[in-house]
Amino acid sequence: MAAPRPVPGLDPEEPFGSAAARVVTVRADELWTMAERVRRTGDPEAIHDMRVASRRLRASLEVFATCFPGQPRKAVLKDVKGLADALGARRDPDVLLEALAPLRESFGRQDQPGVTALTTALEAERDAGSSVVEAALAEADRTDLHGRIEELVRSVKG
Amino acid sequence: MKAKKVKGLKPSMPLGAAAERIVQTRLAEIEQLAPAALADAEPGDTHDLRIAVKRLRYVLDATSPVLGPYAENARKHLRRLQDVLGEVQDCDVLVARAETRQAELHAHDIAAMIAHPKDPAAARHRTAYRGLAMVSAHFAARRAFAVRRFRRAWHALEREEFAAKLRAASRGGAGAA
Repeated sequence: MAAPRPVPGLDPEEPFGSAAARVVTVRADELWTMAERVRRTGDPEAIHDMRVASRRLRASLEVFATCFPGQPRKAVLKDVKGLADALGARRDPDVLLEALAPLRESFGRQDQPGVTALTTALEAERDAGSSVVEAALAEADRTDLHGRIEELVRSVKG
Repeated sequence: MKAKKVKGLKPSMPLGAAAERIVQTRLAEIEQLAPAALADAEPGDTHDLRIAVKRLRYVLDATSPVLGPYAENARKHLRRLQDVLGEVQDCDVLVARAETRQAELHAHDIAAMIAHPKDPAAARHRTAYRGLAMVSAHFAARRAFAVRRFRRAWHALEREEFAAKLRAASRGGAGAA
């Protein structure tokens, strides 16, 4: 995953609220750029990158919590978290499968059925995770998460 | 683990002052959680510390341009700490997953042997038990190595006076890189 996109011109003397609007805007842009890649390719790396972007957005909504109106921020935060969880449902089995892969070489023949028993279960979870991501992206569209984040940024206090 | 609330934040206050308060609070959380994670490295303790480290890192992602130069170094140190704690966490998950899978297959086999008491071959998952026990042992051992690396990384941060330097950097400007 690339480093977070810089937020140009942040100044220690600028109001916390104005920084909040700018940081959340950049983090949301990152998320939607990654979402486009996920929709287009469904590639595991794109899933990973979008998950990281969703966590960064979530973190900035928490760091700058006091700058946004409570209820809309909580609703957006809940939905961003839901998106991150859905991406985790797809990504986490991949991480575990990657860790198990070397055991195909290093474990003996008698131990392979055990490795297979675990990898088969994880592969099934990974496949189910793709549908979870699709559903979460559709839900984000249906509830206009993109628009609600923009609205949240416009309503920043201070 | 719920994040500690940062007191006294206001939208109208300068970003630098707000960032200082947030960094100090998140850093204090890490300092509070680290002793337990270092002592026994129980899964809950290492997990809580990993989350706290991640929270501080995300704060620095958003605010390091307005902090002192050491904030950028701190971000990299936290990333390394988060990576090794992430490896501990992955091992915990894999040990648990292997044990759960073994218990599930064992239960299936018991049910099959009850249904076919004269046919030991009904326990068709029996060949997987040994490998699953090996997976569990393998990741328990890897966890021990990861915990060792975590302790080394933490002690290196202490020697570097990471916390004092980051506190100084959070006050803006101070804190050499």
